[in-house]
Amino acid sequence: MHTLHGRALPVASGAKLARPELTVLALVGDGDGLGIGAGHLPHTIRRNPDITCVLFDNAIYGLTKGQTSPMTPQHQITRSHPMGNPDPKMNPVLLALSYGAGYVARGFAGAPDEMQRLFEEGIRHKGFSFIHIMSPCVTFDKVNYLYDNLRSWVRLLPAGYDSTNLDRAFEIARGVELFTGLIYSKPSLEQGAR
Amino acid sequence: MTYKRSLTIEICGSSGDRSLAAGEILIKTLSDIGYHVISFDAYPAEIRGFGKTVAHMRAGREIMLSLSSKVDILVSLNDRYAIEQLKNLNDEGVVIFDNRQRDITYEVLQQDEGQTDKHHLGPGVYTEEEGWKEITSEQVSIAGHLGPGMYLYGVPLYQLSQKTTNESRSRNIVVLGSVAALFNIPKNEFIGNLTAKLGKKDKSVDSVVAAFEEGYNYVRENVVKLDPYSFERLSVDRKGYKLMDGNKAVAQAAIDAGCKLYAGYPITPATKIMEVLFAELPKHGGAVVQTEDEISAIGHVTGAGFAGVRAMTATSGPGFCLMTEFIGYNVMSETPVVIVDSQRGGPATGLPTKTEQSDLNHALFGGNGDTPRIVVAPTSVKECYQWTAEAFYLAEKYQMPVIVLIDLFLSLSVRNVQLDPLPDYKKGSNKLPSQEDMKLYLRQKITDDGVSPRSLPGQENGYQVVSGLEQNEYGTPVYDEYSHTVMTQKRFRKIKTALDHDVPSPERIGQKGRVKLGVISWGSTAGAVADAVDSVLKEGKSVAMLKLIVINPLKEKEIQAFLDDCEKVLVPELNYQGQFANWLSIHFQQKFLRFNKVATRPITHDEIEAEINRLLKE
Repeated sequence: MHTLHGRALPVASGAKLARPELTVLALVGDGDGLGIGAGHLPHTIRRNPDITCVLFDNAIYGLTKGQTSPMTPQHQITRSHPMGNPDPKMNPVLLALSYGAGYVARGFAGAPDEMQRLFEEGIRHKGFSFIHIMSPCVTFDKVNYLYDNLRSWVRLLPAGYDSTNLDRAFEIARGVELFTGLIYSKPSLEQGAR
Repeated sequence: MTYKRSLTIEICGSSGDRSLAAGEILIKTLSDIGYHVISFDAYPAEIRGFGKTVAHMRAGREIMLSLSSKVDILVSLNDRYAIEQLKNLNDEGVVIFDNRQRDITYEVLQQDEGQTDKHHLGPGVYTEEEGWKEITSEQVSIAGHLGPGMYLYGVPLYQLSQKTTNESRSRNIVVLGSVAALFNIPKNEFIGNLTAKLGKKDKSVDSVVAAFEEGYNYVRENVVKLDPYSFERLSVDRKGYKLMDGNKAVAQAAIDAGCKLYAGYPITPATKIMEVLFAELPKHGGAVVQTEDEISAIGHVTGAGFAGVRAMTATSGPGFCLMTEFIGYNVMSETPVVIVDSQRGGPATGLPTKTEQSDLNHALFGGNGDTPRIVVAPTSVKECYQWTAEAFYLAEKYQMPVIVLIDLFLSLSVRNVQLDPLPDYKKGSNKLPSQEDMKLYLRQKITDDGVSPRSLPGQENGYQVVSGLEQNEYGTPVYDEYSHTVMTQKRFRKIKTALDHDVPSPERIGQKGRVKLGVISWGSTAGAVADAVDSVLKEGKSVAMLKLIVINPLKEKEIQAFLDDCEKVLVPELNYQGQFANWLSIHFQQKFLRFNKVATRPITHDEIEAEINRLLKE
């Protein structure tokens, strides 16, 4: 079901509540998930339905041909901001952690094997799981999320990283470096999905 | 009951006098002894502070669907407020009051930074703006304000309350005793309802019953009854009847119709639907979720509808506005949803605690594009039940949003109703794909009736994509003239099919054949019209009414036949523009006489009656 722009999370939650035996995913972008429908994110996390939200972030409004999105970096020149985007971008991983999501991960479209592993884990996670995927818009973004750029920016999480340590997860989320992988996973006893 | 067709009773006090609790017990008792009842209480609009609270009810031998403008019996627990109510009292009305008012020391609670101090003050009145103001004994007693034909009965409510329960707060119970004695209401039923209501909370049930008895005996021993009103027991069986308001009826209908998901956001006056369902729906295998806003609520319901489960949300005007985009989405994606809109005064936040019928335009036209939807408007509490249940059936069968328009009056008005059980065939109405359909499943298959077989998520070979985009039969987004034309026609064809198969002919009430005046009405106002028409028919007047419950689609042939029978046609409604008259004007070449009010209260039967008589004289 391709829902209204921004409303994937409520619709997915409703489907899951109605038919708990279904596996339900909500696939959103940075424009609808962090812009028009951002208000649904904290509350979906709070209610903790057993659904997986994948946020495909291309840092631009691609369908409408290149306007500033909530993930466009400050000062970047776009169609809607020829003098540069005046506002700083959002941090979806930090948001999800702050609201208390039980499974938070980040992936990169240039690393499909890792993405697949994160999706599988996220779907298996009992409760709400949130996966931030950095996914270049090759048509309308010529400066920021280029495959080459992202390849040089992303870092694998350090060896021995403990994904159940929430404080460490916040450090990773707040840092300037773009770590990919499972950033936080609530110990299974505390997952408490409904 | 003698003298009149029905009697209207008010119990007036300040919040804290528990006049509403007394009203609840009285209405239950009157219902138990065989009367039809209808109540509509008035609360102070502000949550904090003192304010006038009025339990308002009408009781009679015949079924009633509306309120009267005038009050017959006014019970005062606070004379200052009750004096304001006198303007509504009939010339031969009854007043019951505390005849030892001047002895009262009021207790006022003043809250100061979380600390509660009790200040004992003389007779007076407290308002937010002016604080405590003493008033003279003349101002405080209702006795000096009565008209010459009115009947006044004094009972020392405060003294009797103190004597039996050691507090002044049982005055509401004492006065119920007096009411029982004055109007010959059987005592045992009263005490039964009294203990049932207070039993759980009050440990001192005995003293409360004693308070009731004191009020009863005082009247028997000291008061000479002069008025002609009484409520002796009627020999009718009201066993299958339940006391409920429209909100309760909507919630009950959702449960009985097999609703398995309710999502909502608190909003006056629809909140109680969610509260009832939070308590009841899980017992029937359903889920209830309070969402972050109305968009999320209708989103949840849409997801459940897509998953093949009956689901509902209820709201009022402002929340209904937020849901509008999803109305179009449900039309386009052909997803069944039930939306209940309990209308209140608007626009914007408007008058949250006042009733109105002004969301009709929005219900009929709200949203972008050509968006067919079914709109139904129950006219009574009984119909709130019947038509909410019907809405689930229609939404599922025709895969589209069904809007149930009620209003604050229906939502909050308590009546004794007998509910007809829902027929079984209405409990499941999904058009599922046949084996033939599954060979090459087409979600948006073009059919004669407009309805495509619907596979449900998880069904083998039933893969589908639905979206808010225009689509071809496969569900693939397409933007060409042909596809948009046939798909728009298909969506509207469903409405036509619903009209032919599932919309009953509107009910005609009153004189048959040609009439001088016809009245077409909808929603709760139709109740006032039915009562008024009933009354003028007894006077032999040439009047008929047509009651429309399904507002879209309209039974045009039947309505035209009615119009052809009428010399004049009146359309009364509780909005400024005449939204329903305008809607009819789109469909019929007829001059509709309008009677529009934005009265902040329901239209009464006597107002309609006066308008009918005026038009008949013209």
